[in-house]
Amino acid sequence: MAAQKIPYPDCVSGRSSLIIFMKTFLILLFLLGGFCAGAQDSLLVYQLKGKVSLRINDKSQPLKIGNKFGTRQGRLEIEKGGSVILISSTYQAKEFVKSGAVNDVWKSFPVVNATDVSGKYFSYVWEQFTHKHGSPEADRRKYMSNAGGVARGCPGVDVVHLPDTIFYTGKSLRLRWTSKLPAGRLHFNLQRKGAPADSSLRISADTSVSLQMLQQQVKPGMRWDWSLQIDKQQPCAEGVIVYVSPEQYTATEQALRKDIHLVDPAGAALMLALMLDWAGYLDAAEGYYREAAQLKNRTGS
Amino acid sequence: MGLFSLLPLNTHLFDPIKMALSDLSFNDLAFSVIKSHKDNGIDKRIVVVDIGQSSRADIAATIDSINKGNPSAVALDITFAGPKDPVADSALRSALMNTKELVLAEKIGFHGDSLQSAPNYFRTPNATVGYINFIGEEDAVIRHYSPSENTGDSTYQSFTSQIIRVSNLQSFEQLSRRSQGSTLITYRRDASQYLTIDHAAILRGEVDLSVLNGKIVLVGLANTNAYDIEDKFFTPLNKKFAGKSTPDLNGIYIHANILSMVMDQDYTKKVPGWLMMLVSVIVVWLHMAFFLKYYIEKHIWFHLVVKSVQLVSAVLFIYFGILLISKAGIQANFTMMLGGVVLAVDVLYFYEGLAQWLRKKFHIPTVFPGDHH
Repeated sequence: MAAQKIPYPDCVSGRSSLIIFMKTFLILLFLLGGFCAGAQDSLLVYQLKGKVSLRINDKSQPLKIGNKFGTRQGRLEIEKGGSVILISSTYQAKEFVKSGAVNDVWKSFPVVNATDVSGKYFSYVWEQFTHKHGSPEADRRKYMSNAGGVARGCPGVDVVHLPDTIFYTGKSLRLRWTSKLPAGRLHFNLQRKGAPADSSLRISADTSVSLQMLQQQVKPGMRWDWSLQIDKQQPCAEGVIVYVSPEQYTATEQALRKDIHLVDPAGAALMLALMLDWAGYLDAAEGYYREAAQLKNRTGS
Repeated sequence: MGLFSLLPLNTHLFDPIKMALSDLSFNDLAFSVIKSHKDNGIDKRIVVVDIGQSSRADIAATIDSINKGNPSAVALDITFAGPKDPVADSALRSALMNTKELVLAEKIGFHGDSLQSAPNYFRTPNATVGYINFIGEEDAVIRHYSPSENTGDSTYQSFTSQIIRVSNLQSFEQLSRRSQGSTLITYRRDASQYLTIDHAAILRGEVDLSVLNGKIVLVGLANTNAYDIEDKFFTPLNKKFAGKSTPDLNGIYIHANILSMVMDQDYTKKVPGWLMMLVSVIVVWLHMAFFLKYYIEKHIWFHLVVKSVQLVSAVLFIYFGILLISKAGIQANFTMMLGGVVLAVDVLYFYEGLAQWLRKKFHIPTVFPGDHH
């Protein structure tokens, strides 16, 4: 006997329509999420050295500073001795010196970028959904990471090479130090002598700081107090920056030159650089270090 | 209702009330609003010396001066990570060597079962060392501390336990007899209830050092500037009871509260979880019976009565909690009871639906008349 076809009752067919609608809606939602997540992905050519091109399907396009590319296909070709610095949409910079598949270039940047709203939002939702709230009473050792006391000293920060007084001549200067601390904990403070306390400058500086900010209001004779602090603790290092006039600097340099008796120009420049460095003229010293290196390269000595 | 707590997912994800009150204990009202701790006066056994942002040379000179006051213990709530200026470092080491009952601070950390400490650079042979860690999530209210930690065959004492040991052996023995581990801190005093001396005043000779005679002297950072949060923690004494606020108490005053608690044997007792659960079941059952009566017999008044009862019950539960902590030093957690009463209406609706379904399907009689409301 042939099986009798039983028509679905209205409620059942209505339910399957609803299920299909829900499935379609969810798929569209995820596609939209994926589109939003991927829409902001692109790499910007920030710096170029030599010839660098992007080859897709036998078509080679030479890259220029400022170019953006969003494709994950093709090959980044870098000529010998060349290099390219790319910046992702999360402002992370990477330097590439070897040719390679573009997909590999992308892989070297984080998968979820920091400005990806959709990705970050759903990551947060999932993290919160699955986050287990522990109890400090039940697992106290897990919650004993604080310290009820003030910390003094600067563990992991090496800044001893910086002199107490830095004589600044108005050139570009970057103060450097080493730190094993997590990013964002070291701060460089600058306070102009005689200026109101609220006019001080405080910037996050993990391993270095450029003194270009001083060039905005430079006048010979000005003095700044500087300090380097972990969080808001006692300074790891502190000192004074004195802006010297060109006449003062020239007089100092001439006095130092009198003690240099080297015939070799590169050696003399290096000696002057070292003497300026010891005397606290860091930016002037940097100039003579560069000059010494150039002279050495030129003469091959 | 208890089944809700078994859900493996955190369903309070976007609950702003839950997020705002996640670190809240209604018992804190006893301190932040009622200010019951203000009745306790000043603890004259402890003196706090504020070092501010002073140099190591200044700290050394301050300790030399403190020693002249003949205190019962000098405890430095400062961790020194490494060398700095050789001259100042030598002066500080010398001052510490000349201190009779010296306690130094270290921070510890756990890696599995092993304990690691960040050694204090000025650990001298005459010093006892204790850890300064409290128990609490980051940026959460500090309510507990651990008097000592055992790892294998070694016992590490906390900073305050070491201070008690060198200054008040009897209290230390009483503390050691108590069960160790997570211990509730009884906050009885805020920063203004401990004698605090600025180190600069000591160095300028403006302090009569006899005030330190026989006292426990805590040396560390003790700033009252609300905008300076270095070494500050959230405590139940915070003026702002709930929501966003700034940390209110320096670690040194938390140590001082622990010392006062131990010397006074003023430990906060906690009502066991099982007892609170039992009481909660009884109280929620009574509420449910009352709500059920209105639901069936006087439904028109049901919502008005329920909301009123929930409000009155919440006020009373919190009042009992404050009374217990203020007058008897007993901490009872009424959250479960409060949650039960708040969820009662939703559970009642679900129960009615289930009872109606059971009646239709299996003819099981129910007190609910006809179709559900």
